[in-house]
Amino acid sequence: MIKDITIGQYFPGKSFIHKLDARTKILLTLVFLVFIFICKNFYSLLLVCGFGVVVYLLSRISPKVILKSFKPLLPIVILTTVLQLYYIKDGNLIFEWKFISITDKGVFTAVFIAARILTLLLVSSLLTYTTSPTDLTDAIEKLLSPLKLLKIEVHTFAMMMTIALRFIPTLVDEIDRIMSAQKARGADFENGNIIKRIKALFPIFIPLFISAFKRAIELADAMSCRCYTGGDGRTRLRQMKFSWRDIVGSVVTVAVCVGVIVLNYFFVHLI
Amino acid sequence: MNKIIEFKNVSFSYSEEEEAVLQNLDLDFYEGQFTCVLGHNGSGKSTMAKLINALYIPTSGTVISYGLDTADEKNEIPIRRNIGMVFQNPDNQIVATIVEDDVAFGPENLGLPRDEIRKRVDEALKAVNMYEYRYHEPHRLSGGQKQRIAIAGVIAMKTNCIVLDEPTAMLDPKGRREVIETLLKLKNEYGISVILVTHFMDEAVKADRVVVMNDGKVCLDGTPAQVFSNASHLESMGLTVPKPLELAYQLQKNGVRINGEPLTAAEFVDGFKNYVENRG
Amino acid sequence: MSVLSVKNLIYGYSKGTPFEKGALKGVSVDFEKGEIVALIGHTGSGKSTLLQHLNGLLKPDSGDVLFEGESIHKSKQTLRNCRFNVGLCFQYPEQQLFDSTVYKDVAFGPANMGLPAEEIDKRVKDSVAYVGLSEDYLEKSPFDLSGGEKRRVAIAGVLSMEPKVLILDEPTAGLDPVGKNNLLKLIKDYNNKTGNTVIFVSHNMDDVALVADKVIVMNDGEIAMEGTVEEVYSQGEKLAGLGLDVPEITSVFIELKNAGFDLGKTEYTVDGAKESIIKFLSEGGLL
Repeated sequence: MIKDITIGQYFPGKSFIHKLDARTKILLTLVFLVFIFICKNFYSLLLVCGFGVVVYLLSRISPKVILKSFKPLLPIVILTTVLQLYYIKDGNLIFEWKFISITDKGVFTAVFIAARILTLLLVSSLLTYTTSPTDLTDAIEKLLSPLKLLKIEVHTFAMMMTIALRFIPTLVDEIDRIMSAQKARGADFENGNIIKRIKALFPIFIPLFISAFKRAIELADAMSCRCYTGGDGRTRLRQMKFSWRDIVGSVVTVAVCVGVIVLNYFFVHLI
Repeated sequence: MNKIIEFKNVSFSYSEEEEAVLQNLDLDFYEGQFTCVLGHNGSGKSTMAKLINALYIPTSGTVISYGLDTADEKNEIPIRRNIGMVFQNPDNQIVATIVEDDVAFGPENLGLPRDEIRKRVDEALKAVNMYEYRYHEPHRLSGGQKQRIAIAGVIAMKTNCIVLDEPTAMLDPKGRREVIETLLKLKNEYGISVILVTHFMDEAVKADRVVVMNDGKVCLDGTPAQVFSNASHLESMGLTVPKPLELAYQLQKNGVRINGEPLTAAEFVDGFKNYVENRG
Repeated sequence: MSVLSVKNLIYGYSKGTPFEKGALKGVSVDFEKGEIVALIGHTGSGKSTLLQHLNGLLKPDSGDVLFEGESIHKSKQTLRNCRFNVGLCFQYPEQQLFDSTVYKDVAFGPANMGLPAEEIDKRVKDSVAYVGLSEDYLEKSPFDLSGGEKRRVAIAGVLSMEPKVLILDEPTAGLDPVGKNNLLKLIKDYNNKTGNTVIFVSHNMDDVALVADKVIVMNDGEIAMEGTVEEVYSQGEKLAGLGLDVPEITSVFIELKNAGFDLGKTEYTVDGAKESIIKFLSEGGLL
């Protein structure tokens, strides 16, 4: 059950998208996310969504995975869509019943917002699906390295992320084990009112925190035994290299962004 | 033989109020040896291990590792470059999400050039027979495999000595065998000095030297055969004697004298053959 | 009637698919009242999966688990009944301690059962006594205790439910020889005093020989061997073939046999071996 969570999961592959440098992927994803919000009409939105779908197809990630990642957020998408339908009152009336009235503009806006959120989800999950956690942290460290000038400990931050990623599966296993053990002593996590349920969490979280602290102390010892003294003077096995793919990826993304601006400008009155 | 680590009259307690874990300990370790430190929980053996590479600093007395005083803070890194350490819980010493990245962690900290790191990581993974797992995620490996990755992480730093604090306590028999075989290989093929802290008597059988600790002191020290000949002394400290040796003692009480101190089944059978031939 | 029986249990395994670690491929076994059963098998042989079926934590894909002749999955009530009657103590149980005092932690199980306060009090005191700790421990914090003591408190936390079957997954893992022997003795004493069934997993064949009445060897999700300690250990070669450790004395006997000394039955204890060797020597006039 707990093991089904797929946040930040990585699906190894050899696609064009997988092979892009992680730094390129992060930057292009950020730019793209901004442009999802910049598009103002259906033409530019279509371009953005189309591009998102093409990127998805290139990644060769199974559709099941994508649907699974959409599932938990579907209620939010539906809720926002319904709210738009309900609250937008201008435009031509197409449906009316008691206090509910739906206009064509409401429908447009609802579809527009749903498409935006879904594209946003698709593209941002593709980033983690196609990039290994190690590459992701390395890239973040590299991208943030200018902040070192401001005396911000970029390396420490990246190391924290690496360790967090390393220990998520270990702690998930641990939660499972502790839950089973407490269930064997008659603990009940499924029934009762909210106070009872919160109380039922103590026998899980107290052992979990104790073990996490113990692990942290031992890990710190192990790291210092391996001569870890922070980021200064450290070299890396993994080297990041830009390739022709990164140039192609960047050029295409920039072209799409220019397209969005052009379409926004020329079809400004459509919505 | 070259002395690599020297405990001189070392006492240690975790805090002023607490009782001393080690009391006036004098103990040396030598180059190229496989030394096994035996003792039950609370005998001070793990504390001793952590004093070797300056994780702990003696309350009184001195520990000299590779000629350097562990109490001096600037010696910390030079000492740890010479002495690597592996701990009990395999999960809590792996830093990276990919096996080869973890093995690279030490060399990266040493600031080695990339090509050198690559070479060392590959060599180290081959030395522990984990090369084909280099792209795996550590949490999917078995306990024995994880411990071998931790050992590879030490080898990649090219330390001269490796200290292991109960590395097999959480492993199943297969994992234990894998780890012990790897350690014997390190000693025999790479000339690395091994200090193995354990409470498994059968692991001590394969060592060059066995040190038994009790109440923060060394109470027996010698070859496995010498140490295990003190059966009643060991039992009084809650340690056992290899079963073949116990059997030989029992037979001796009944007038059957099996020569040599048989620590393993094979040694017992050799001794038994001898006995039968001499009689027959 | 067996106190607990497992009928053709299949879990996480379907024919034709790659073998899944820890799956069960049709396991049937009966546990009788009052016996101590040791479960042996290497990691991934399915023994932990089997344990979690015995108190209904896992539900089998097919097959059934019967407690006192009744299917534990018949209703919510039978399942709950089984949870309390089949006490499962996981590996490194001290990692599940959570309450501020030993007393409260041991009382967690009986409190979940909804027992009256006096009954809980009695059970807590009884079970702490069973694991060999004095009443002084009751008000201590479990986190201040030594490793061996924590383990005992955790086991007391299962005993306090007064289960008719006690299951321990590798109860001696990580303990030193003294702690290990104390715990094995405790298992034996508990079984003697209460007459309750004990099932435990162990990797150490010498430990198993010391306390178990019956041995079950698992391999690849199936029961590979089953019988008394003597029946199973006398087949030392078969055990070694399954990649398991053989008791040291057994390997002495196997090697003696290979060297041409036929001592008859394969022994597994020092005393048995001594008798057998002396008999062999005196018959051959070699004493």
